This record gives sequence, structure tokens and C-alpha cells, in this order.
Amino acid sequence: MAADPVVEYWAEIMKRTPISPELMAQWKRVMDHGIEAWSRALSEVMATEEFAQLLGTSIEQWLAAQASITGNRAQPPAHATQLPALAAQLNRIEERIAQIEERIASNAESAAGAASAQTARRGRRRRAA
Amino acid sequence: MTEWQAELERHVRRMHNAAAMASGVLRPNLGQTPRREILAIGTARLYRYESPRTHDTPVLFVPNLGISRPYIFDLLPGASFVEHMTQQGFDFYLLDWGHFGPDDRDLTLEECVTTILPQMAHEVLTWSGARELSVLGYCMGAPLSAAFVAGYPEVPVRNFVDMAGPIDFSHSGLFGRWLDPKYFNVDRVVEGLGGSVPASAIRAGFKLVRPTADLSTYVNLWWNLWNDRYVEGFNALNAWANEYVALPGAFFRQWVRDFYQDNKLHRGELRYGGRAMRLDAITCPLLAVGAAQDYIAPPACVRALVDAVGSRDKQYMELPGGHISLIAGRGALQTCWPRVSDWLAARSATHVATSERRGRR
Repeated sequence: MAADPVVEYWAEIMKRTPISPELMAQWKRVMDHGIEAWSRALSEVMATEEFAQLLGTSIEQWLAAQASITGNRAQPPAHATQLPALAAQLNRIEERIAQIEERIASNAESAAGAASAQTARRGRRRRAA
Repeated sequence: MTEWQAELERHVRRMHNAAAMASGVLRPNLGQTPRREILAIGTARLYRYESPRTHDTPVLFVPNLGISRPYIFDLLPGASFVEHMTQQGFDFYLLDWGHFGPDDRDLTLEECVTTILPQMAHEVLTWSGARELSVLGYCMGAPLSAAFVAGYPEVPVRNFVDMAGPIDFSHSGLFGRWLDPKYFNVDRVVEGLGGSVPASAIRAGFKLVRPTADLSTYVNLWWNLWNDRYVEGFNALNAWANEYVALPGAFFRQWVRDFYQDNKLHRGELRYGGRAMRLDAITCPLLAVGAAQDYIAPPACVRALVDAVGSRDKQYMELPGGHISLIAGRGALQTCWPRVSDWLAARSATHVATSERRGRR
């Protein structure tokens, strides 16, 4: 496979610098050693009684905090709590309107009935006269 | 080619692969070995894999419950434990415990050992037409299946393999220390978490046990990013490593209390379903495989099984690497799997009549 001319060009330039291509490998070695050292140090700390105790306490505190947050969330906000009351009020108003409508209708019926009875009575009186 | 040319070409490949990874082009196809589901119990599924079945003794593979997904065992072609076992001619069955939601919070460890495992073993025997089966437990699946094998002597288990499965929890490393009842009240934790242990809590626990693991992973990725084969393996493993599975609360309580805190299995005090589950009741051939750098199931914790069982044919094997490297990756294909499959092959019934068995189902 032919080499990439751009890579070739940069390789040529880099060759003239004091930087060695081994630099990347050195960086990797340093990183690996550093991570390994940190890992060992942290493992030692985490294996102690004190850390286990701290972890246990932290979990308990976190759970308590979580419970208080979810506890607050469980309480619906004020405007949300009023919604069912508002809906109930609307229902009651609707029922009231329906009752009024029924009463008007029945009043109208009875008024109409009374009016027709009066007309009939007048008629009977006229015939009797 | 000069050294600089080689180095710069690696950089070009790194950039190319980084862009491909970022765009999601390199999404791996996981779990490619053909299989069929043959039994479902709750969330648990039993899968049978296609294989030439040259060994008459089927293998029931019992992995961990929750924590992670079981496709790690069939990661990629050429880097799959399932593929290796089927290529070696084993009639291979995988128990997938499934995904757990809030509705599964009451599933207990006892139920897994006394109800699900016996039914799965029975199904394996029915489907294979074999008289005996081998049980292979990995990670948490090993103590679960050890309890099952010990408590159900009527189930004809021909061989038992423990791969990185903790047995003596007095040597269980950091988790053992952190779950000490002095500092860890499992009931309060499970209640506080709402009755089950969510995937995020599992993730936090596993990240904490190796806090530098992510940094190390990404430094190694950068270093090997020019290597397409490495990137393919990384993508597959990374997808798995970031997919945690919740644990049912009742299961977690028993797991922590009976195993980590009271060490009942190793002490011979475990009783589930009215049955004593004593490790010395295991008399079949036994292989325990530990990993030298395993921080989840340290070697001493795994090795204890060999001294606890009543088997005469028993062996402990310690391999280099960590908990995952026993079961995943191309390295395992060289170091671990052939040893396990060779050990099992030497102790499995050889092929009798494939056509006869095929006719059964």
C-alpha cells in the first residue's frame, strides 16, 4: 500500500524535530503507572473499616435525603390540590343549574296547565250563561 | 516506513475510528449464535444453542442474576464463550434470569434455587434426552447453582464448574467489607430504594469498587484506537459494561444477608425450601476457576469450594486476568475456555446417536 503523501510530509517534518515518536509510548507508560498507583492507593483506603463506615453512613444519609425529596414530591402543590375542589364546585354548579332548569320547566308546565284549566272554566261558564 | 510515518499513520487511523465511534457506525452485532427459547418462568428464559452435539451430557450455564445482561457470554463471533462451547460439541443451554422491574421486587433467592433452577435442569434433561447434565455457574450464578446442586441430590448432575463464583464470603474483598452488617443495613437500603435495587445503584457500586477503571479503559482505548479489531471488541464490551440490570429487593436481601453477611453456604447453614444445602453433599467432579486479579470474587473466595465439597475428582485453576476476562474477550479464548471445555469433555458422555436424539423434539 502506498504511503499517504500527507503522512509522509509530516513524518519528514517531525523527523527534523527533537521529539521522538517514542514520546507517545512514554506517555502511555506514565499514565499506566499513575493509574495503577492511584488504583492501589484507593483500594487500600476503600478496604479500611473507616471507609466502610463512611460509605454506610453516606448511603443512609443519601437515602434519607432521597426520602425527604420524594416525600415532598408526594405532596401535591397547592394549585394542584385545589383542582379537585374546583372540579367538584363545577359539578355542583352544573347540578344546581340542572335543578333550576327542571324547576323552571315544571313551573312552566304547571303554569301552562293552570292557564288551560282557567280557559276551560271560562268556556264552561259562558256556555252555562 | 520510518518510525514517525508509522506513528502518524496510527494517528490517522485513530481519528478515523474515533469519528466512526462517535457517529455510531461501529455498533456491534451482539449475541449471534443461533438459539431458541425453550422455557419461560416469570422473567427467566432458558435458551438452547445450535451445536453439533457431539457430547451427550448437556451443559446448563447459570450466570449472575441481575447486575448485567447475559449477552456478554455470546459477545462477538470469535470472542464468544457460547460459540466456543457449541463448537466443541456441547449441547449448551443458557439460563437468562431476565430484566427485573418493580413488579419483580418479591422474587427471592430461595425461589430461584428451589423453584426455577430445578425446573430449568429438568427441562435441559428433557430436551437433550440425556440422563445427566453438567452445571456451569458463573459469578453469582455459581453459588446459586452450588446451593441447588447441594440441595437437590436427586437431580443427576454429572459435573459442576464454578467460574469466578464466590463461595467463601469471608474472603470476598471490598464488597464483603462494605456489606458488613455493622455498616450496611440491607433492609433499610432496600426499603429506601423503593423495594428493589435499581440499575443506577448497581452501577454506582461497581464503579466504586474500581474507581480508576473508566480512566484506564479510555487511556487504553486511545492507545489502541488505530486497531480495528480492538475497537470492535471495545465497542461490544463497552455496550455491555454500561448496561446494568436492577435486582429484585427480596433477592438482594437474601443475597447480602445469607451470603455476604452470614456466609451460610460456606458454613453449611443454608436452608431453602426445607432442604439443607451443604456443599459437602456435592460429590460430582468439580472444577473451580478463579482469576488472579478478580476484585469481585477474589481467588481465595472461589478456591474455598474445592475444600468444601465432597467430590474426589476436584480441581482449582487460577488464571491471569480479572472477573470479566475469564468469560469475555479474545484472551479468554486462549487462556480459559479451552481448559474449561477440555475438562468438561473429558468428563462428559460421548456422542451416542444424534439422529435418535433429534427425533425426540
